Amino acid sequence: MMEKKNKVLSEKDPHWRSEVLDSFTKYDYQTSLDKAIDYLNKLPQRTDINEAITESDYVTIYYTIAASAYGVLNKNKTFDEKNWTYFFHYFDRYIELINTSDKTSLYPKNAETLLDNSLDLLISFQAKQLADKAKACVSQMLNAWDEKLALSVLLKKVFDERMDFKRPDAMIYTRQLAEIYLHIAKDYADQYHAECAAVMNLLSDLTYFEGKDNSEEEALAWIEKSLVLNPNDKFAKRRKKDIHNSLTINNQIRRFNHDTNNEIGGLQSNLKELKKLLCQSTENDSSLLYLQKIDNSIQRMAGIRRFVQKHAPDFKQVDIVKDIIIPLTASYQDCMHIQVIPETSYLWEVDCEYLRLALDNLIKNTFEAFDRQHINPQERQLRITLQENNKHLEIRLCDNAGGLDEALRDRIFEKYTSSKGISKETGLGLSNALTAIEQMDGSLQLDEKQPDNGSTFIIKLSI
Amino acid sequence: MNTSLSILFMDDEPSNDIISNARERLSAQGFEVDFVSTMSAAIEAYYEKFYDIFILDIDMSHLADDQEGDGVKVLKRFVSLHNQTKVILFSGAGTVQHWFAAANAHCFGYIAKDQQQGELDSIDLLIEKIKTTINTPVTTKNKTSLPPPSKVLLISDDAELSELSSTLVNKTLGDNWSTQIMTPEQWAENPPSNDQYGIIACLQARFSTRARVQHQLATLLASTPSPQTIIACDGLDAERNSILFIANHHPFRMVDLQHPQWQQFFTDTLMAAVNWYGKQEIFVADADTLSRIHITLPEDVQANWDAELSDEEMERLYDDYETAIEENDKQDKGENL
Repeated sequence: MMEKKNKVLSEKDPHWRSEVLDSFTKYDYQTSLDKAIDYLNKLPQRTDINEAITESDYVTIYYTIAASAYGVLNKNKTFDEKNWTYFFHYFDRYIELINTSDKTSLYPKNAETLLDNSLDLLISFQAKQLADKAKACVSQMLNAWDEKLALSVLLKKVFDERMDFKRPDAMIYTRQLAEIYLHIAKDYADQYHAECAAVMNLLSDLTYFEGKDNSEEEALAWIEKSLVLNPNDKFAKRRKKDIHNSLTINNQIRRFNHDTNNEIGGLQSNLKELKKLLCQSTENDSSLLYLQKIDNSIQRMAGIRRFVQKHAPDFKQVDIVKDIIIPLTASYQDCMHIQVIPETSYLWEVDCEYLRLALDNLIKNTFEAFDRQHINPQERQLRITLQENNKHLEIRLCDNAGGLDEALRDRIFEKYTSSKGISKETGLGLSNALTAIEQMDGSLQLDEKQPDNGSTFIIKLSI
Repeated sequence: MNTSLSILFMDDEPSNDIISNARERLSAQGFEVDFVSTMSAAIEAYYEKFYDIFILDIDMSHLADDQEGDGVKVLKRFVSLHNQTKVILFSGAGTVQHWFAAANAHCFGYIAKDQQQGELDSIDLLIEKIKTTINTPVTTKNKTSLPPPSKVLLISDDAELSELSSTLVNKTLGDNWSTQIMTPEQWAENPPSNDQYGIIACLQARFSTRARVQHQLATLLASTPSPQTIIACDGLDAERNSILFIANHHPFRMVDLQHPQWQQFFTDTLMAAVNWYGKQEIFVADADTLSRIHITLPEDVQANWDAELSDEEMERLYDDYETAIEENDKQDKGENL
């Protein structure tokens, strides 16, 4: 008696095996689908076998039809209404039946496969309704079998989908499945807290890399939730710290920009008012001169901040000689002889602060070389010439400060390269000068022909 | 100076020098300035009195009555009530998202508080902006009921980007539309007449702040709304100056190429551009924001709230927009199945 009960359909009925199962096991799903439906339809007339057929055999038949329909859809990779309907119709009947059946006589593997298939079909062909329909399928299976089976299939699907790099929008589906997992597992929180935490970590990562405006905040929120469930997760702890740091830094930069911009704006407008008052009340040129100096300092500070934050240049037509070079060289005139050619105006479109920063670094570099070489102040010469050359402006800085060490020549613009020794200075001067010029689509290099007792740098600026 | 011009000035840090100086100098110019320091007060004031110009700060977190709120949301709100409301943003920093959102909500101007142009400080620039805004006529030129010419001009210095955007245009607007691709150099050498296009889209990672580039951009942008112009570039802090320049020249839309969903936004923008061709856009009122700001409206205004939103003209415009969206959705569905 027991033996008979445990016989599976293929053992009871050779027809099933030869007609249906053969093609099914050979992955010929279209044939197994047609034959299984035909088999099911004819079953009521099969008096030979009728009485031996049990509920679990119907479960097998429904499973075979649904799995075959999935096989066809999956193979063709195109949607067709007929097979779609077959799958979900027999999926439902399968569920209905196992709900009331004795699970010990059923294969859990088949239930897992069908649930997995259903999720796969929804992702492939009805992605827009994935969130709702996937939840329904999982819930059905959960009620009919148990939560362990349903949740383990779903969990596997979440991580499978995460790895399915080639599927367009795989990230979106992963997220939706993960959210369904959390929604359903919520009712069994005691048993699945480690799984839920893992899913939350995954969601945190997905959110973080989405790069939306508030991604970091959302990612942090997921990690924090995960840590509540699994407080000893080292991975999550570290992620939390990283995201938190990044958020803090970004917020501080934002705050800093906001506050300093407000202050710079305030300073500029106060200066403007002060200038107006001074112009009205006195003829005092020197107070106006001081104001102009303060104004220049503010602009320089703003320029340095823009440079440090790697901002794109703010191009303006400026008089390079009168507004940049002459004021810059003024403070060095006592310690070296600087000649500027031409001495009059020279208009060019540049970022005033970036060019100033580059020239300042180059002149400072020359001055330090003079000092290092112990060259008599009377003999120190720096010649700055401006010449337009084939739609470029060339600014040449030529000095007699002893020239460059051969060994350093090729690395002169690299960061932390300095002829002054490593520990003494940072060696960022020439590197910053290069960056500032390159930001303006220009170039800075050593002249191929270097003078015998000095060096020549060439800045090229394009129109 | 017309002394009757009225301005509502909103900033949450009234004691800052830049703000007190700005208020003084605006008054000295003869403007009638009312000052508020919260967003709800700004929205209430909108109903209380007519203002020619609104000056809004963006970062309102200092005294915020709505933590998530900012000046751009107030701007959207105002424009949704009347699409000719003239709003100038006057901001300490703002984020990349704010700059794009402000442009897309059609601010009249965006002045950064630390901005300077030669002898002009940011307050001078603000006053200048107010004057040009006042002098901008209420109705747009070339108002037309004709359908847009079914041709898109794509300008880009990046071949890959032009190809991708051309594909997106075909996919979104269908076979009836054609695209023409040009590099900025080709365009500058021989700029075609704008009126043969329904849409002009200019896409490249960054725009230089050089006068020549800015002149080209300003020329292109001057044609909006016929054709509508779309500018796409990288939304990076480092590009603030060029992004704000574009925002100040009223593109129909600015697309942030750094945004992960920029392609989707670009295609939505194409649909919207066709729909609003030759017209000024109206936003759907953001009632959600309003409810979070907890404002109390004057009773009569509250009573008319629904009536105001179902204004015949606005409904017609919304319907147009919704039909376009639905059609777009239908196309989407067709593709997925």
